[in-house]
Amino acid sequence: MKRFRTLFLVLSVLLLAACSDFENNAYNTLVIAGETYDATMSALADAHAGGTLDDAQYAKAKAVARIYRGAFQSARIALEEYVASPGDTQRDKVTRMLVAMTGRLSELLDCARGMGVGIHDLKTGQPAPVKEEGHV
Amino acid sequence: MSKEVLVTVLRLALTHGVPAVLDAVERCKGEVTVEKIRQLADLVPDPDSYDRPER
Repeated sequence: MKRFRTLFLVLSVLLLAACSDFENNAYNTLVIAGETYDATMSALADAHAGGTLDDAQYAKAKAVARIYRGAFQSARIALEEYVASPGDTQRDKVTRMLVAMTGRLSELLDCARGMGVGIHDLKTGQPAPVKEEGHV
Repeated sequence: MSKEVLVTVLRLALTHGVPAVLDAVERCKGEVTVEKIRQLADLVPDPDSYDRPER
């Protein structure tokens, strides 16, 4: 799980260093946070399918993930509004939303780490998650 | 930016096959537009969509 954080931090530093303006920095932060979520959820789903996580643990992780998802979407919408109509007030809102989103992401990562799930559990070449119809 | 950081990213990508590294770099190319920001919604799908078929 520590590797998730390493990946998140390293990518953040790499991408943020490559850009200098607020819009790019905020956008890149969202991309990195989204990719980190995707990798974390894939690892959790693999662990659940493999029997490492029981149903209760998986449900708890998904509940934490939903909170993060809400924070991500709020930050994304705030940035969308800022790009459409830039201003200091909207800019402050984007910053606040990104800080909140980062906090929720840390909670998700801590939750997964507490369950013993890390990026090493992520299978490579995994197809996009698909739900089977009629399957419980 | 130190060489150490670059090596860390490359090591992660090689040892764990993290496609996120390439995807993130690709998404971050070019100007930030409203349309690009909207597309980020797909990056964070509902947690239920990750459910694997039961074995």
